[in-house]
This record gives sequence, C-alpha cells and structure tokens, in this order.
Amino acid sequence: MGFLTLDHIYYSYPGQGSTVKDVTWQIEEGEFHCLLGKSGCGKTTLLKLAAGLLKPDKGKVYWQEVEVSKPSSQVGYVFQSPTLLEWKTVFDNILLPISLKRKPNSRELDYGETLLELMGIISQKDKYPTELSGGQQSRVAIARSLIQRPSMLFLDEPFAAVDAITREELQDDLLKLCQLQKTTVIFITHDITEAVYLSDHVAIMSGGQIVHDYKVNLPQERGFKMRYDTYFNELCLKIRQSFSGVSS
Amino acid sequence: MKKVEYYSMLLLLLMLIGWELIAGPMSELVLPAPAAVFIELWNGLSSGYFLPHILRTITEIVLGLSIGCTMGFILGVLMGEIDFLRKLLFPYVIASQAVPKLALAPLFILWFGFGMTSKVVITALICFFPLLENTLTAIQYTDPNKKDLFYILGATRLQTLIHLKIPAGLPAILAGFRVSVVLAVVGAVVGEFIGGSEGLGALIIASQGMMDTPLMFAVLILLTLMGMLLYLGVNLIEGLFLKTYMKGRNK
Repeated sequence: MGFLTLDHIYYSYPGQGSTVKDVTWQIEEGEFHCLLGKSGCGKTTLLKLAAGLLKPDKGKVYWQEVEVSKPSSQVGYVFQSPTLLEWKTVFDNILLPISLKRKPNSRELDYGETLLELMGIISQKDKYPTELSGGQQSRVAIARSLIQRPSMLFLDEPFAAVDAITREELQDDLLKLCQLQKTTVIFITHDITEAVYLSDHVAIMSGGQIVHDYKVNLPQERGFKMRYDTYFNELCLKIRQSFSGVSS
Repeated sequence: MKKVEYYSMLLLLLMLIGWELIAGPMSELVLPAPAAVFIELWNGLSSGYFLPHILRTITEIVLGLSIGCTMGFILGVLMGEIDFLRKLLFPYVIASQAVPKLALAPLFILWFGFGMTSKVVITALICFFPLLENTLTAIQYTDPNKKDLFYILGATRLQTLIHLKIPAGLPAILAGFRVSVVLAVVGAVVGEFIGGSEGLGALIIASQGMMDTPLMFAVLILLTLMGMLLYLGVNLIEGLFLKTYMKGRNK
C-alpha cells in the first residue's frame, strides 16, 4: 500500500451522475503528482476525496495505511482562489493554522518568516491580502499551507489566475519548498507544461476516471532551460496526444 | 474640501433659496420661510425647550436600537448556524414583519402604557428585522472554500463562526445595522405620535395642535440631524472598534 491510496472510489453529487468512477490511485511518499484533465472531468472532486474533504460513496481512501474519514492535521490544501482572510495581515494569514489552536511560539513565528523569505514576500508581511497582486496572494496561500510542515500537500490549480512569468517563478518556489520539506504533493492543473515541469508523475483524468499515468524522467533539480529540452517537449506532445483520444 | 462637496453645499444653498422664494408669498401656517424656521430652532435650542424632548427621543432610539439589534444579531447567527431553527422560525419571523409594525403601536401603548417602554418596544421591533436578515444571509453565504479551509484546519464550529463567518459577514451585518439606525428614528417618533407628552414626535403633534408650523419644521430638522448623526455614529463605531476587521477590506 502506498503513502496515499485511493482504492476503487466512487462519488456522485446529489441528483447527478457519478463524478468520480472507480478510481484507484497510489502515491508514494515524497512524490509530486500532477492531475491533468478538461474542466468538469472530476479533478477537484477527486482531490477533495483524497484530502478527506468528501467521503466516497464507494471505495476507500487510505493515508499511511489508515482509512481517511476526515482531513488530517498533517495535510495542507491550497484552493483555486487564495482564500485568504481579508481582515488579517499576510503574516497572520500564514499563522492561521496554528493560531486557531494556540498562540504561535517563537519557533513557529521564525518559521513563518522563513517561509515568507523563501516565497519572496517578506516585505509584504504586514500588508493585507487586498494590497497584494494575484501572484503574491498565491504565494501567501502556499506559505500558509506549509506552516505546519505537512507531509502531504493538495493544490487545486493554485496558479490559474496569474501571468505566465509569475507562474514560472511560483512553480520554482513551490518545488524548492516541497523538496526542502520532502512533501508529497497532488497538484491539479490545466497546463501540460506546468504538469511536466513540476511532477514525477502526470495522471490524466477523463469522465471521472484516471485514464493515463505518465512517469516524468527529469532530473530532480528543475531549471528554466529544461522547458526547451527535447525530452520535455516530446513528453508534453505525448500527453497532448493522449488528450485527443479522450473526451471529458 | 473636495469639488463634489462644494457642489453639495451649493445644492443645499440653492434649495434654501428656492424654499425662501416659494415660501415668501405663502402663509406661514402652510409653509414657513427658512429664516422663520431657523429662528424657531435657535430659540428652542438656546432656551433649553427642546432639550428634554431630544434626550427622551435619543434614549428611546438608543434603547430600542440596542435591544432590537442585539436580538436580531443573536437570532440571525443561531438561524444561520442551525438549519432546523431556521426552517422552524423563518415563517414566523416573516409573519411578524408582514404585520405593519406601526399599526401595532396602539396595541403596545395599551400593553406597556404611555411611558417610554412602549416606544422602546416599537423601535426594537422595527430595528430587529434588518439585522436578523443581514446576519442570517452573511452567516449562510460564507465562501464555501473558506469553510472547507477551516474544516481542513480542524477548526471547531464555534471557531469557524467567530474567526470566519462573523468577520467575513461584517460588511453585510453593518449594512443591516445602518438600515436599523435610520429606522429606529421612525419607530421612536411614531410611538411618540400615538401616545406620550415628551419626545420630538410628541412635539410635532403638539405643534400641529397649536398650528405652529415653524416649530414643526424646526423639530423635523432636529430629527433629520439626529438620524444623520446616528448614521455617522455607526461609521465612527466601525472605525474605532471594528478597525482590525474592516481595515484590509477598505483598501
């Protein structure tokens, strides 16, 4: 059994057909998995099932061999929108997961600042989310999800609303942080190049099922030039072609 | 002063001039000129004649507003949080609001007498609904992603309410409070119309009996100013006590 295992799971919303159909998926510790698929194919639902936000109608989700019935404190989640609390400063937003339980101690405060530095937003520490750009807000959301040093991170198109250059910077920052903490990641995206650049595995979802799972054989250290590499582009093309054969 | 504020002042001046021109040829009984009204207003204020009436009306407004808004807020939160309670009580809340509350005023005078209590009850009843409705809507329609976030973070129901739903709903709740503040003046004055010898509403009825139209206008100006000051008071409260919660949103 893997670090995270989805075992023949099904899910349907009330009054609708199955959104997720018989998905079996295994994620090993420290791996970075991307989930690609057209809009409405069930990616977000699958992510919520894996995180314990939704309970499957059939089948089971196991996390470290224990059945998942609700989200664990060892899990971080980043939504499509940054979901920051507008009335709290950037730093208070980052510390929210801790401050809901108790007053953050000096080590946690220091770690919060380290995350801000790694994400390049230390100068925005005392600002409010409405004063930040879309990219900066995404950075805050990622830093918040990492403050408790989760062993598993779920990200649902976190960079959908930012420009291409900022997106590349955010991808590098995310990789750096996840490698530093050895975090296991499931990342949803619509962007094939983003999926290949970030992950060790790219899964393709269609009609509520995982129809392909590609292994990405790129060096651990990613870099700008890698995006123009022959293998990188061939893999992107292969994934793109596999989309032509499936419908949402 | 900004340009638009100059124009606003200019508009007021034009309206006063227009009022003076229209009122000039008319009887003071029908439409007194602004000059006559302001003299009446000054005399009433400087002699202290208006003071007990102003204090009485303000007391009724503040008490009615506090009771009505507190009840509206608490019930709004409870109904927003507990589905069963919402389904159970909502038809009755709507029914209580469908009855013209001002038509209930004579009944409240009968039940609570001609003193302050009946006016406070009418005011509280009028102020109750806007806050209940806005609080209920704000609590119910909190961003589902933010609710999921709090669920993932292991927040309890009370923590989610205190740290997310209420702060996120503050703009809507404050909008309801502003409506309540303006309606509170209506409630207190109507209560005084129907029964009572003190308060600005009672003074309007008295001036009608004495056919003292300038006095009536002077009291109307006082009531308008009172309503506007209360509205500004809400903004002040917002600025002083809710600064932390509103800060990021105002930018």
